[in-house]
Amino acid sequence: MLVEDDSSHAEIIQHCLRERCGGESVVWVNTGEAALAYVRDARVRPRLVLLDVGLPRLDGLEVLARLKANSEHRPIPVVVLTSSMLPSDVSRAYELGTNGYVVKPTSFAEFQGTLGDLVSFWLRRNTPAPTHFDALRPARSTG
Amino acid sequence: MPSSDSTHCDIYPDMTRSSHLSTNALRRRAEQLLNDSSRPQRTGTEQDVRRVLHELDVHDVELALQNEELQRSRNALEEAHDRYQSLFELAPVPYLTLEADSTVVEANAAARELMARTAGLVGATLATFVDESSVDAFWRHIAKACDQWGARHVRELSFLSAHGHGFPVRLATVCTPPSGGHPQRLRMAITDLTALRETQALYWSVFDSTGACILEFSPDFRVLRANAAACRLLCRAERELRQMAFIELAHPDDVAAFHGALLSARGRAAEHTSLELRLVTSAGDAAWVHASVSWLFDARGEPMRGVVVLQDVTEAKRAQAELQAIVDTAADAVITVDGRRIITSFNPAAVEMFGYAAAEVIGRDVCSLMPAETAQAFDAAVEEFRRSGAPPLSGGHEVVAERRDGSVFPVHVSVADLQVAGTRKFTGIVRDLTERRRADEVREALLRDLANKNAELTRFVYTVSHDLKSPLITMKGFAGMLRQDLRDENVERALHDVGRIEASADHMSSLLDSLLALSRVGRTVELAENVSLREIVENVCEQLHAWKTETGAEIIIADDLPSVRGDRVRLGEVFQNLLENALKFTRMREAPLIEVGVRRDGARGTVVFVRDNGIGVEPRHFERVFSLFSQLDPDEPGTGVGLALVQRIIETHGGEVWVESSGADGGACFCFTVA
Repeated sequence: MLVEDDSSHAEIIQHCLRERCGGESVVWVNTGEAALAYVRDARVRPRLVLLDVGLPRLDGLEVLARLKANSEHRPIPVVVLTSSMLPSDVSRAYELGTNGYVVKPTSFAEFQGTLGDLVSFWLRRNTPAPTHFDALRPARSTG
Repeated sequence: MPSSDSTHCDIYPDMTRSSHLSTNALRRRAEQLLNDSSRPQRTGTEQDVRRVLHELDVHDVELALQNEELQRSRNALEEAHDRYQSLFELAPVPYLTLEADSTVVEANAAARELMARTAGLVGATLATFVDESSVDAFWRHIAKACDQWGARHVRELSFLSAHGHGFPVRLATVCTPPSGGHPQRLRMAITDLTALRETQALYWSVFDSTGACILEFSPDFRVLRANAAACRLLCRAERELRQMAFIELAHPDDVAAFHGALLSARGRAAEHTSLELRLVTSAGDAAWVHASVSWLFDARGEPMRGVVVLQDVTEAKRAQAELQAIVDTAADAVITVDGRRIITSFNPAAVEMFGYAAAEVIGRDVCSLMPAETAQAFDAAVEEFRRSGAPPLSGGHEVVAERRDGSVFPVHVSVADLQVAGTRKFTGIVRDLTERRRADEVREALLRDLANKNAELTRFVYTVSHDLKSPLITMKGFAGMLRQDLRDENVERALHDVGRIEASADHMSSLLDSLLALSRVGRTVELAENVSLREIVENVCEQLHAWKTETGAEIIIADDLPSVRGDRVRLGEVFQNLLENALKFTRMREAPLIEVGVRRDGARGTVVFVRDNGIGVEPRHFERVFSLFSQLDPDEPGTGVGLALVQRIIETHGGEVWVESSGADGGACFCFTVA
């Protein structure tokens, strides 16, 4: 599932995902509220959530907090995908339990490569994501 | 009584003692005198014989009575004689009786002691005891005395001691006329002047060699003598000084005080008066001296001469004056306190700092300069000092002090203890920290402000980079896809990609324009003008007239909108943005209502507001709405700069801006203060 308010960004990301993850279907929502509603109501739980931060009203970090606060939804891997490099956003995201924080690359090729790696890492794991993600957390160079 | 018979004989060599003659001898002598006389032979009757015999008996009894009377007189005379002899013998003054040739006839014990002769002085010639240098003077003195019976003659000359040394004596001699069968005699009192001369010599030695300046002056205040130190101090020769009235030496301003001290000392025997005064040297310089005045009086209590001892205190005075000048001009309060905490000095800075006149606090407890809690701490420090000897508050402490009007203020106090003339005193140097504290607070506020600004700048940079990067990502992304679509020769997709790229470039361009507008605000605000906010709002409403008509909104403008000092154009932008927002978010209402008004808020002062009945803002977004490029509804047109611009303009006018709303659908009220 992709949570992204910028329709152009959504289009680019979906384009890249279609190329790299073959049969997987991608659901796109453009607000935090819609994302939470989908996770709550969908028959099949998303296997990965790519979450933008700068969403209108309910922002991405708030969506992350609510997902991770819910024991049923906590195992769903969530990767923050944003153009914000604000250190406070990075540390806040990890505190809230994100499974990854990826800054949107400006180069299209890089965008394709990064998204491909991300999806293949998370979708090829058969086991549910661990609940404690500290082991996966990169060194706090962003601090 | 005489100590021995020989002495007795020396003293009474020619004394006649009729009582020693026997009655028989007297009878014999009488008969002999009768026989020798040519008295006629007496004859008479028996009756005559009886009468004569009776007469003889009566005479016999009378003679016996007379004899008794004589015996009593003799006893009284002997007693008086003994008393005189005692007085003479024991008198402390050496006393001699001499013949005119200086043969000693009588000498008392003091005389024998002076001449170192326990015996043999009587009969000796006094001239042999006179020092050779004085022999002529001695004989002249004797001759002079013999010339004038009864007159007292005094002469100082030199006698020889038993060891052959000369020693000074004063002779006081009276000559008595011949009597009782002996010629004229000299009565002489001798005073040994040795001790007196030694004392005098000692005095002169001290007088000449002491470092203290000594001047002697007459009862009419003329200089009699001046020692070497005094001559040096006054830069005058003693000869010159001796011609001067003592008062002439005093500085004109000090003459009266000096004269008073001289008179005062003259009225009191055995006491001296001290004062400090300036004397004038021959060079015309003033020398500060400490003068101690005393007088010598004669036996009748009349002043003979005065003595002034002067101590040069010019240097001490100069040092004291310098120190005083430093203390008087010090920026810090300087307060001295004695061992009982009583204030003994209070400099002008202290007067300024505490609001007390010096005379008001000198003599009072120093604790009256501090509030109760500081006084308690001070007491504890004083106790500690008594115990350990470390002066209270040494090394500097920050405490609270109290002014005369009861207001308190922070001070830094450092205390040093010092010994002044054997008395322990404490000097406190007190610095008022009010200004420093105020400066500290200002500095801390500035630092806080700077930190806030830095944080804001950091956020701004991230926000700007994020928001400018976003269209860049879009353009690069679609450029990449365009390349693929061109390779696939998919013209429709390619055109779509180009459209996206163009839209994104336009968006970026408008973001940059907004950013530029925002950055201009701080640089171009002109606060010099006094502008009517009502006038500005009316102008803005005119520009928005078409939009207003389209939405059917009603805009109410309060009559009492104030005039403020500010930038007309920028304040116009504030209302433009707020009213546009209000129109935008009330358009779905049936009867959109917008109010521009003013209210008084106790803490904030005058608050101007733009209130609408639109969709409102949830409290959690109250801050976010003012963030740069922040849009709560991405479907609404705009770049998210409007409210950030409003905030920037209001802040550059010294005010603050905020939003009040009860949440979704509750309407919003944007408020700002004006300076």
